[in-house]
Amino acid sequence: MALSSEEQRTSELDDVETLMRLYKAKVLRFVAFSLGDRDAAESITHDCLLKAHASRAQFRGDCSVSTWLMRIAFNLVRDHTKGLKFRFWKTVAASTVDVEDLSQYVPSRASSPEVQLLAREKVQMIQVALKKLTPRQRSVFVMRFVEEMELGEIAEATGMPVTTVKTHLYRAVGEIRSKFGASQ
Amino acid sequence: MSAHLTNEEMTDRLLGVPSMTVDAHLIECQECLAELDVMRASTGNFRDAAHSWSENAVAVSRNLAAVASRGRTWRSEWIVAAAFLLLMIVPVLYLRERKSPSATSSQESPVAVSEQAQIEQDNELLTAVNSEIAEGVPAPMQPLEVSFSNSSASSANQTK
Repeated sequence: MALSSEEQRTSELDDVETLMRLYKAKVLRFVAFSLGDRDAAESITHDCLLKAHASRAQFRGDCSVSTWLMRIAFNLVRDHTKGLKFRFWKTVAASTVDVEDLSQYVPSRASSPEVQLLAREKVQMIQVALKKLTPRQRSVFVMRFVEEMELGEIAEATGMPVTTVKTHLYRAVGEIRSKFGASQ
Repeated sequence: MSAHLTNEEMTDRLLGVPSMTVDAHLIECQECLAELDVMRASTGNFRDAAHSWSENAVAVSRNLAAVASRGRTWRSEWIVAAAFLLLMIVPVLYLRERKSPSATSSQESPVAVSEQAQIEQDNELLTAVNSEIAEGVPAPMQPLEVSFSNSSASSANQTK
């Protein structure tokens, strides 16, 4: 007998292995690009998936498992950055491990080497521009432009009004535009 | 021609929010159109790169976990082998120990003899002490006892 979509959702949450297999990459990239810290991202991703599994009884099914996981991950990122506020910035900078240069992961799509180079430069610029944003703005940017979530889903996951979500996106796009403009 | 697209207009266009004003501007302004294309392509490349980065990271950590668990299996195999060797060696050593009791006793006989002599000496000493105690007055006190018995005899004569 085929499972209903809701049963399928809850069965995903019942098994940690399944959760890890289906959502680890998604949660990891969200946390990694929100924080810019690879080590912290690994640990928070693990915590997020374990927390989702432990509190699966609280999942009401009014949103997708993916959005629910994003909400948990967003809260964990927020708690992590709150904790960092109390640490001297130099100590924080010294202890974080940057997310690798993404330009080496840009797909080739059979374009010319010049176009490839340009595309890689632009991706690098986006990474640099993201560093100038607050973790919250980065999170919203990643949810929209990396995870391709709808504005309503982002609002649900972050607990922000849609207008605030849009404001964060304007700020992020503005930063990227100024980076691109400076390079021309 | 109006001014170039604002951040809000550019973002709305990237989000797919329809706007007649933006449409009209993009028909006229090739600069904004080119910029929009670059933004679209770059955010798309960033998304694809982020996806392949995370999938690669997860695959690497999965492989590392597999290697670590293989290492653990190897370690447990070594532990089992060591336990098996111990099980084989310990009974052999125990049996060897049990098979040679006469050899050990013959080797220990001088010690046993000297112990026996010591015990006999101790027994003699104890017998001597016991006999001294049984005498009543110890030998060093005997002169005193003699003088005491003499004085008590003279006092008895005086009273008579």
